[in-house]
Amino acid sequence: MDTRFNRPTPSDREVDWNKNKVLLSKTDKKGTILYANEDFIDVSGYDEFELVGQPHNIIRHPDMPKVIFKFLWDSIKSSENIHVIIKNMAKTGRYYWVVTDFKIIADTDGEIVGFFGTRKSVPNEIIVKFIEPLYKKLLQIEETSGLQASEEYLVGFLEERKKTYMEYIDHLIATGKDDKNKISKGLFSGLFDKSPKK
Amino acid sequence: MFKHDLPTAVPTLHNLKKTIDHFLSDSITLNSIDKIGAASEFEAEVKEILKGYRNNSQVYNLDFQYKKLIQIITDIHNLNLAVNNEIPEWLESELGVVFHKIRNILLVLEIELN
Repeated sequence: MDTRFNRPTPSDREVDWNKNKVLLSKTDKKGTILYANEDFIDVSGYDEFELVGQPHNIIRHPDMPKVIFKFLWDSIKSSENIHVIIKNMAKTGRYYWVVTDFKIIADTDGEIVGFFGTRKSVPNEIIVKFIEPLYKKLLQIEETSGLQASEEYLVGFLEERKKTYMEYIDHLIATGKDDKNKISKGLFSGLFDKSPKK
Repeated sequence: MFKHDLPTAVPTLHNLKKTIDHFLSDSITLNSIDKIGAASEFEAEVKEILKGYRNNSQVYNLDFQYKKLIQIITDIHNLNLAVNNEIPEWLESELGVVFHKIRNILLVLEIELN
């Protein structure tokens, strides 16, 4: 990150934002912000000049487990569009939860040139009941046993539910329920399947 | 410094405004986007203003927004060319937002210059 900006101190207060808004950004393939829409800029609390040219982790919250970003980048490198639930941190240190949909931008030769990130709010109940406890557990494992152990836990967690990560969060958002013991239509789809879409 | 350059700056700004208004009235179609490619008169106008007034915050912002505009146009262009790639609706609306921002900057600049 640019050394001109100090990392804010995380606050336990949420950003006061209009949750009907969609926060958008475009990054290059390394995750550097190329441009963002007004709503993204407003919620982040940074000036547009401060954001553009910065790595996207300028808004990363320290409560986020690294394994989620590993999963995100593994999918992106495999040319898969993906969405993940992310806790972001504004310049004020306040947090905001979003479900971010990453769309890969390829040139005419099929080479990845960047990504569009489209962010929407997530119902608070889903965060409090399901996502926060899961991410806290993953973070705790990372701190004590490392990233690999955290990934193994997440894979096991999803296997129990017979879902991929995306199926799991889609299900949470659609139903507001975990349904740990029910078999989903994703039974035969590979967890973290990295094969490119045909 | 600005006051001394007023006679040359104002017509340039008016040209820019005219160009922007033309694109806005054209409903921002792909066809109109093509007209403001990198080699266009529009870019030349921005460069011209930048040359004399780089230290002015509004001019700096004009250059910043212009570069954003070009990025979005390039993305729309690439998405349009690439097979199976849809142009997101928000991208087109963001293009409109940047157009309006540029026009507003030009209005502010005009006031500053006068």
